[in-house]
Amino acid sequence: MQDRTQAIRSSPPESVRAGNAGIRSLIPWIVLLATLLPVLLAWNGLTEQRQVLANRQFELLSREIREAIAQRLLDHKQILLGGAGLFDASKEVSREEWHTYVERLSLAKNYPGILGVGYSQVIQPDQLAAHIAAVRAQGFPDYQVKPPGARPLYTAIVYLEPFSGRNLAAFGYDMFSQETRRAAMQSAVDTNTTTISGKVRLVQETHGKEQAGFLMYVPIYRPDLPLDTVEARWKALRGFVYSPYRVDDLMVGILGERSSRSIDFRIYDSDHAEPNALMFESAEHHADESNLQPSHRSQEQIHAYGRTWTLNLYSRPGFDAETDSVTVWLVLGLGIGISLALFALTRLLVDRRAQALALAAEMTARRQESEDRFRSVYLHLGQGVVIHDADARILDANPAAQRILGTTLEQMRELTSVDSLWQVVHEDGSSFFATEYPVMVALRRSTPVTDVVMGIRHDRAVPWRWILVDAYPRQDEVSGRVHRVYAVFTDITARKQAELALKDQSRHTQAILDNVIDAIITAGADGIVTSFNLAAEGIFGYAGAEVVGNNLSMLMPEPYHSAHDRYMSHHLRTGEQKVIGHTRELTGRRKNGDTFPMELAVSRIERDGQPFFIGMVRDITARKQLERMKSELISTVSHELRTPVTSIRGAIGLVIGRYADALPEKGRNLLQMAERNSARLTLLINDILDLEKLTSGRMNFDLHPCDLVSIAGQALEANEGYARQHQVTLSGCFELTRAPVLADDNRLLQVFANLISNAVKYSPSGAVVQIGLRRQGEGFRVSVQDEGPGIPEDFKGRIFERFAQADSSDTREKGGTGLGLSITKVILERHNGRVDYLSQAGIGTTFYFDLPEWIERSSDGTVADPQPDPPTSEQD
Amino acid sequence: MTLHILHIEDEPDIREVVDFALEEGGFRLTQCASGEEALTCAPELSPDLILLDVMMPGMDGPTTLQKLRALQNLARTPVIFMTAKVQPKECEYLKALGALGVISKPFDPMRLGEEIRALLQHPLV
Repeated sequence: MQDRTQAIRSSPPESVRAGNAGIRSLIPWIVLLATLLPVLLAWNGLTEQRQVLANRQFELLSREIREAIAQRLLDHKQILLGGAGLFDASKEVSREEWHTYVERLSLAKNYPGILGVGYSQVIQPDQLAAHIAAVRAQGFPDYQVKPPGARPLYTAIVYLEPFSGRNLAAFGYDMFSQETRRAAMQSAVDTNTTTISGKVRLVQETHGKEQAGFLMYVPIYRPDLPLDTVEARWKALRGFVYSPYRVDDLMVGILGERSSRSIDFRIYDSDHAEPNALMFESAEHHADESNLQPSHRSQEQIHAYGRTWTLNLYSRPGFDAETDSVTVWLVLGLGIGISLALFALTRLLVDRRAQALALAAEMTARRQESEDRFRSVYLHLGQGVVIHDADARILDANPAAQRILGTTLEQMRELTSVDSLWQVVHEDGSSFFATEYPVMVALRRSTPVTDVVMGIRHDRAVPWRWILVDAYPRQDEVSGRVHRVYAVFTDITARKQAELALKDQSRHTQAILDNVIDAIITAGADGIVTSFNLAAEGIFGYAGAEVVGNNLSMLMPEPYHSAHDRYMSHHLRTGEQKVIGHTRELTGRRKNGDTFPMELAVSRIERDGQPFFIGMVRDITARKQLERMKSELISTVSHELRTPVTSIRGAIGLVIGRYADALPEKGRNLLQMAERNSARLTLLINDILDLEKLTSGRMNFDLHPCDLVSIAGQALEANEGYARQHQVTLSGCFELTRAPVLADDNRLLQVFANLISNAVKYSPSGAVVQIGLRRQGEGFRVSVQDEGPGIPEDFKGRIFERFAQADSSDTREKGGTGLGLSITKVILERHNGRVDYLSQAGIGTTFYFDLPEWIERSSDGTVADPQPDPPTSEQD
Repeated sequence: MTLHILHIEDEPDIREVVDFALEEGGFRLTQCASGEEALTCAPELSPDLILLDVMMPGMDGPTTLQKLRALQNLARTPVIFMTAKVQPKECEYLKALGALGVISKPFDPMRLGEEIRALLQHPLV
């Protein structure tokens, strides 16, 4: 068996399990990493891609802006060249012709942002006055070349269309007088190209928000003059066709609303972002370059018409929003969400697994513990356990089984319980068939078999052992077939023996019960009869079955029949006992309705915590009859005796009284002897009659409160004469003046007379008989002390018996009846008193009796009856 | 003065003893052997005392007394019972029937007369 236990113990070592648990706890993190990584990579890729897209977008927008500006400048150049062509084509261009040309261009519509298109004429200082006069003559009397002052060369704006509004302020203005403009004009001539000026403040800035301005110049030469060199060109120079630009307006014109959402830019009239050179800013609110944190920025340069413009472009805050970033964040968000969910799920699974493992480990441990526990029980169990296989062969047997069966496991192994190793019998001594064995039955039926009693022994030498066997089949979990049978048995030999002994005892008891003369009836607390013996059947005339199970009261006549239940419940409630513990005379009722006197003794015992009553009933019909006959006989005899005695005594008395003198002395003596004896006979008859009445309970006592002192005094007086006859002195010694007792005074006087006459009879002549009265315990003691010979030792035991006298000769000598002390004893017992004596041979005898003190108890004066009438008295 | 006594007693020996005992001392005796007999002769009599035995076959003493009392001439005549029953209860019972006294049997014949006169408080002289 040990190896089996070991096999179950194989389980992985703790450390391995702990290691596995460590790795397992990492799994969720690995899952998180593995899922989060692609998410982050994808997010990164998307972000980068988005960046590239944004960059491209930005580039596109930047180029668009740059190209638009460049294209517009080119357009304007063409316009100016057109104007120059007009001058080249005709010697003179009139104001109206210029107006027409410019109007045809529809500047405001086609080229918004151009303030105007004008012509500035070059004037040599010597021609200045003629020029002014000529222009004034054209209807402009207030015309002046501005600013005034003497200069080596003048230019004057003579045409500027549209010739209205702001442009009127430029009429007559000498642009060559201003450094920036002059530089551009000179450069135009020097290089013979179209030029634009640096940043200027236009003279048209007369009102409103001032804007940065610049101008574009195309030189015009007088026809037919060589223009190959710079000097030649300066000689041939006639004027400039030009356009002033307000940059803000121009840019609005160029760009319209395009890209205003996503990109801002600044134009500097410089090759770098020189703040003073800032010409244009698309943003509504200016901010320092350094403060701007755009996601994209670029710097471009526009080389145009002699100037280098720096174009700074930067994305607006809204630029990024325009590229679709929602997807990116969605990807990231969802990715992380899914990763976390997976992480949580894995973690949960791992935890579950860990829990499951822990549970499994716990269950294994518990199972192990349970296994150990059962193993221990199996080994130390008082009951025998034998394990059989499917062929009923014994596999194992616990120590108790080996002990009970009286064999060892080795002897049993591989045997079946049917093997002839054992002799097996039923309770009645018959042998077991092989198929009857509990193990076989359990195998066959696949159900447990319980409480089979078997007598078993494996050797004829040993006594039978009795066992109580249960057989439990165990089915294979897979096949469902019975593959084990556990036979569990208890050694009940001792119990069996006790049962047999009990059965013997019970038979013995039953035999007694059946053969006893008295009826024995048992009943429970409910008054229901539980057994009724043969004698009871004979007495009551019922068969046992007619009474058992019914109420006891069926055996009683009225009024006991009706009162019985009440009495029973009263007894059970109060424990008060009227019948129990005493023998009582009652009346029984036979099946045929006859009533009969019976003597009943009831004892109460506790059975299973319940009161249980055993009643013994004796039919005393015969005895009663006999008693009645006896008492009638005694009564009759007494009466019949008394009548002749009366006659005899009367006759003798008359003879002695009247004729004594006439008789011879001898005759007279004989008659006196006859008279004495007839007197004694009378006494004897009286005593016999008294005693009979006393013992049969038919003498009525008239108990009433009396004073014992007074009764003793009367007794002393009444017996004085008798004592004197015997030459004995009576001496009263009463320690009390009053001694209340409950008594029949006449009977007590009888007691006194008996004791005193006894004492006197046995006292020597001249002696004193002491009569004492004193308190004794709860009552009083009366003593009568003589100086007689004392009571012989061998007589002491019989002294209160009837007709008892120490010496039969006493009767004659002392003249007693031998009944006095018997009567005395009975009378005192009826007074709840007792009589006894002390005697010393040669010194004397003291008879004494005790009576309880009478104490008036109830306030209404009713006298407690110390001798309540027994229930029997009602029936007499 | 002579006392006339009606004596009822079933026992002839006792009747004779009583007759002898009361022979002297101023008594005149009429004796009957049973209650029945007494009832038949009683109407003719007017005794000074009825001496009545208690236990008699047939009609007992108390019954006889009851019947005699029914007679006008004996309705108030003193009665003394003679009985062997000397229980105090019995004495009381008999006295309750109207008896003057009870003389127990056996009696002292020499003192019977005295006893009767003591009960009757009727001294001889």
